[in-house]
Amino acid sequence: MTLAYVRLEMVRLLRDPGYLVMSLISPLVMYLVFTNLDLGRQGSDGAAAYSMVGMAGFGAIGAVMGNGVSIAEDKPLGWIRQLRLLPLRPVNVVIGRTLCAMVVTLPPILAVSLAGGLVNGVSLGAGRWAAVVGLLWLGIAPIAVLGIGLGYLLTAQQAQMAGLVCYMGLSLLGGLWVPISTFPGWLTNVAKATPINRYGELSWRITDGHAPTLLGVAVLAGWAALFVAFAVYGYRRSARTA
Amino acid sequence: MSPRRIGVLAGHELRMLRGDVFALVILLVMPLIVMSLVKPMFGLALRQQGAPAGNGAAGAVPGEALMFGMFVVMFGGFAFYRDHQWFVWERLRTTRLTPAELVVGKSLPILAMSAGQLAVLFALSVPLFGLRVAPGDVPALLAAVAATAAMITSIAVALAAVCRSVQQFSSIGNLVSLAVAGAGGGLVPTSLLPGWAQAVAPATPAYWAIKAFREIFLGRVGWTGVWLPVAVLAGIAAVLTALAVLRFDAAETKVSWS
Repeated sequence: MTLAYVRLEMVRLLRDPGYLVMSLISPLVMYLVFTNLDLGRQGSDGAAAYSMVGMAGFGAIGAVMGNGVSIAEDKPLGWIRQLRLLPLRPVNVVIGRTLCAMVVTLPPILAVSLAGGLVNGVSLGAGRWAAVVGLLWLGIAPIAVLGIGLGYLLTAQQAQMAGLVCYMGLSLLGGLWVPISTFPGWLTNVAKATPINRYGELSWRITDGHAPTLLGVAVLAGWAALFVAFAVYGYRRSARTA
Repeated sequence: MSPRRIGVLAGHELRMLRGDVFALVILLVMPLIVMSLVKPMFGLALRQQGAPAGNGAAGAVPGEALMFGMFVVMFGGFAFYRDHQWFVWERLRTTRLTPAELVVGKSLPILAMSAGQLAVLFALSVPLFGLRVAPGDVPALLAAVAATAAMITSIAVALAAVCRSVQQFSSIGNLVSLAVAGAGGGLVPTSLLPGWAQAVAPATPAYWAIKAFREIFLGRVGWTGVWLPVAVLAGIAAVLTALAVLRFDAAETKVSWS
């Protein structure tokens, strides 16, 4: 039942032109532009790999925020109320939506990674490629839950704007566009506490030949717990209005 | 056209926009943060072009003001769809408002929002980033702000006229905003963009707006530096407005957020 629901939601989301724009076209074009600039990394190879992870993450955030907007659009249609009539437990609905959001992040992650390898000559071993793509995919889960929470809590237009703030603001502050090493000292410390920076760090460390840090994983897990609580709160609130 | 009727509608729209917290964050807070981050990069690019040292703000402030200024397209355009969602559009059409007054009444708040955003960002950048504006260049700056706001408003109205659903408007608007501002040098200096992007840049309205503001802030007010870009922006605004007027159909039902 849950898988059938996931398939249905995925088809709906992939038909949305906004998904294509926010998660595929923007990050891909920005990646191809950004790698022609040296924004504070050592050498062009480092810049290409850094920017590849950053823009793949940027696309993934766009995809999960689009998922949040689609949830907000469903509320006035009565779709969430309809789901409550099905033999589908609320937790399964949230899990289904999260899985759906996770699946639709794969195209931008793979597209930008392919551009990195084929266009910009990013060279990693097979194991490291798998780890980079895998961590970019798995690491987006907390942000996907945040998007779901926003979708349940806000109206469609509010979710669109909140998604835009997260999409642009958190990506920038998290160092997905430019390395946080170029930030002023105080802002670097703020950036390190953000979930987006720790999400990107998982894969950046792999491209640099290191394993992710325990602290980085712990910070991301902490944010994940917070976002799950937020999504649960949002879902309960939506029960009163949907 | 009745200025009083237009004024009532425009006043109502401004009140609707005023309470939007997200607008405040996206249009004012975020660009100021980005300006502080990219100022050194813009300073480097300007020095490579022979500008005096310490002028990073002259590049970063116009660039990011335009980058985030393009989001006014989204906020302003949503107003056309919101009225359909709330079933207000049909009521407005039963009043004495003509279709032209409807469009003008909806457009003026977008114009005010855009001009206000640019003015506030430039004013705040003087103490925050050391942006310099010579008193004699203020008329040129006002002309550039007016032309840029008109260009942004015309994009919003043209998209709202063409797009039947808010989802279409949102998707196309996002892409247009990022593409126009990014290719025009909003995100990074045009001189640092790859060759193909530099060739495309003059075809984007943002390029001309950024060029005008940059020249003003560098104290190089002249025909080619400022008045030509202002004329180009005014021309773009006029063409897009004409297209919007031709395409706009007050009887068409717009599909808002479900």
